[in-house]
Amino acid sequence: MRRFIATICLVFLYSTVTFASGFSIYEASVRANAMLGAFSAYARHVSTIYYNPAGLAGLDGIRISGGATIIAPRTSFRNLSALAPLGQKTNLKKQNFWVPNAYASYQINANLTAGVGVYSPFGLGTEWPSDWVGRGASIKADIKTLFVTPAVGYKLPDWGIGTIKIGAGLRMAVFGKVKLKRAVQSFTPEGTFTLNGDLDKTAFGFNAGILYQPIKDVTLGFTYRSKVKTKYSGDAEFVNLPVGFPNTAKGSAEITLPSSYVVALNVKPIKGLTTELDYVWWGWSSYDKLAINFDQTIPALGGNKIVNERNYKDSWQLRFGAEYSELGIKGLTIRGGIAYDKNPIRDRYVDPTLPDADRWLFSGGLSYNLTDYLAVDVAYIFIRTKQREVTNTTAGGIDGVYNTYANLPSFGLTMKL
Amino acid sequence: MNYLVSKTKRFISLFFLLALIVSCKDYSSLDIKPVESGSADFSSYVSVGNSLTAGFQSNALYESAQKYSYPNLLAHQLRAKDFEQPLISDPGIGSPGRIELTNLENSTTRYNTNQGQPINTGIGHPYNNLGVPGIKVDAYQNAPSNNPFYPLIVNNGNPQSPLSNIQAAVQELQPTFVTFWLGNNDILDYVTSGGLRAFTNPVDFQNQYVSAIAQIHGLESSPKILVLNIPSVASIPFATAAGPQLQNQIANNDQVPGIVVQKTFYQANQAIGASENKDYAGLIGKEDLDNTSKALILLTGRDYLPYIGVSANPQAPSYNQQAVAAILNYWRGYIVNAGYASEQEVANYSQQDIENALTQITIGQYQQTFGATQAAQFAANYPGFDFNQPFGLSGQNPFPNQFVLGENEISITNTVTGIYNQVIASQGDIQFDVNNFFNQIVSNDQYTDLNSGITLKPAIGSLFSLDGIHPTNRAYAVIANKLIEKINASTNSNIQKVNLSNIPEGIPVASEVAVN
Repeated sequence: MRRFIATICLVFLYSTVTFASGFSIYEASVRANAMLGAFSAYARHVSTIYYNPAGLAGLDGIRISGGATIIAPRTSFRNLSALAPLGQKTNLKKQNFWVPNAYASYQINANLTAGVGVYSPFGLGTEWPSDWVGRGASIKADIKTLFVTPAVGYKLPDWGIGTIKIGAGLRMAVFGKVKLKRAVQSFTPEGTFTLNGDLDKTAFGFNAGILYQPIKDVTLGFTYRSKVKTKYSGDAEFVNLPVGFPNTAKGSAEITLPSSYVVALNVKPIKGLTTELDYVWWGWSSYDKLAINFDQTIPALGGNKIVNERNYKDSWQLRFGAEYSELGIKGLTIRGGIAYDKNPIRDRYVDPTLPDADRWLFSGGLSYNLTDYLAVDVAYIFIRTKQREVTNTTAGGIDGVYNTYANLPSFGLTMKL
Repeated sequence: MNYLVSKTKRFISLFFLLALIVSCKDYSSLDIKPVESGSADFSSYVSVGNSLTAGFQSNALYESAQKYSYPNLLAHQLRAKDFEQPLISDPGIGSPGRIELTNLENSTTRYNTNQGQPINTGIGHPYNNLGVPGIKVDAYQNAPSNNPFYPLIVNNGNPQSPLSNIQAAVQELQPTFVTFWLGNNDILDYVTSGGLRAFTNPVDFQNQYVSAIAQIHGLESSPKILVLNIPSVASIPFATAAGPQLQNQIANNDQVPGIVVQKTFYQANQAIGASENKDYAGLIGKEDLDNTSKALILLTGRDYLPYIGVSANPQAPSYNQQAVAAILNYWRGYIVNAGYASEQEVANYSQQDIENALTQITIGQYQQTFGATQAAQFAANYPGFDFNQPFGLSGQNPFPNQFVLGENEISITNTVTGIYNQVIASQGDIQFDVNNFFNQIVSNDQYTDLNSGITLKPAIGSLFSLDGIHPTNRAYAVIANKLIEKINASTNSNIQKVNLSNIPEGIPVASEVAVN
């Protein structure tokens, strides 16, 4: 048992994360993945610590689940700027990212269950060829986060209006890395700027949720996750920029990870079938700019900071998932999902660090109980974004057409002791 | 139960079908909206011009600036086919070399005297961008003998297979659309030499210009021609930047009333805006140093400004050996250029010899302008040169004429430019009044691009590259956008403008680490 957790911790240390609306990652559990995250009123799996902590209430015994999602995004860019031939195509470098997750819960009494979750709710990873047309906008961008959330769920006394569960958790960003690299084309010959930052100190937020089951087979859920202000500090390097820049400097960046809420409806229309529809809202408007502050005045910047306007707007996702367990094969449950995800970036501010667009998501997956105590979970998500043409981009962008798709297989185990 | 299973299967099939449809949608072909070219045909575009058309910047022609030449940007937006440029590898070709920034805070620069090589050779036909740095209108039909760029640019896509002139290249290319921007150097040469070199006679200018446009109009491909006129060369930083700098330098010095400058003699000539001048030198008061109609100190003279007040007399408190050597050296060159003595002879001249030579040259110039009789009278009263007098503060040791445009020369520049622009206004199918556009920028002291919100200033490093004459990448993009506006308006086209935020500034810097 101990060994299993130790291995997971290692995976966490090496994990890189990427890719979702904005740079949120909703793939926090293999079972939830199979239903495309329509999970905030599901409440029968320990990963509810992320999706709705109220769901902890009533989870009996000791529950443990762990898994990983592989995110394999593929993006192409076709140039519409005046810097290169029209339509010239560049592909994002192929990268696959591991996004791990682990949860455990323990029932304290019939109404109260406590648990802890480790997951990676935000991140992105994009890398373009160092000589590509948009190198002045981005060559490499990498943001990784790791959150730990201790949480409790409590089932309220029966007042005769149905079952009400509440829950809350502390969201602690315990690990984070930011790496940004881009060409500096203000001068000829051009140079490069790199920032390698680590999360300064643990950043805090919270989540809270409620589940209301007015009648058997119908559950309403609501989850709120607060924003988390994270700060990253590290070394900035200026290469081949002999005039107007130091060789190195200390740099730091603050990124406010946005708040979100979920309204969920879970219905079990017939025996063995669970369906759920979740509306997820994201407060991305808190991400209005990315500012990098330096420890010294940099003549070429005319000051001590670089500011990239982001001006994200709030966005939403609609997630539908279904699960069916009466297939006639004992221990087998199948799942599927479909979702639409509205991106938060205005056309002018789309840049190659995160070539986001509205997207459709499709998923399928299953769980199989190997024993009464152990189940394997697998899921597969396919994401296709709408083709996105951006023109009149602001400084730090590049005019062109982005196309993105991604495959996200995931595997995990769930134990009930 | 079976019913449920089959329903589930159907649901799953539907789901996969949907996934398949979305995933297999063909995104590989890019639907680029075609350009509506209205009444024009942009398929074959040729640009004729000088350094401004070549994409020259910071005193050199080099690839990383040529990419942002306004013809190249325009060709991209017009979707003109295979627009070829005579690219020169960095740091390019320039005399004595590309100007590069060595320190940003002090704005110090240096010349990079390494020279680039032609790289886009062997294309098998003449280049579409026929901008040749340094040429005047006359060079459209007559190759100048001493222009190093002409053979590199006016050829069959390779310096080894030259063409006799630009006209021959245009003839061979048979363009459907031509931009024509010549005439700047016909007056710029006069300006950059402080009025010492001649401008093109306006009558010759008219003949050469009209003849060039007529040849292009007569091509079988019957192209549309967009002509650009000549911006006021007296408003560029090359002419306007140093005066206010000097004004600052002497602002608190009550001993220095201004700068005494050597002057050119003129007979009155209203046609070119000249007033009579019989003074060999004159004071430009410090209050007039930022008055662009009174006096313009040229960027070429900036290195001599710190020497103002220096005397060649070793006993004088203002003696400065290095400054005196630099000043005497300047005048040695002046004497050679005047044809008075050879370089070898001048090298051995004493201070006294130089003073005598300059005195004789000045009397000779007076005679050339006003005749022998008046010259004799002038000579009788002329005190001549004396370097023991303070440099730039005495008529006997004046600041060289070559570095200053005086009131008379500014008037001539503006009058002649006006005459040239009248000629241009009657030519071509579409006109862009660069002069008016540039004057607006100068009077607002800025240009704001409404699409990107980027604001550029008529100053070095913003609209002007390090030579103070040629535009920067973004300024060339502004020109391309103004041309697009004109083209759209006059041909009913819908050409998209260049996004200025995507254009990098690209100011050249010295590549080895600068010593601060």
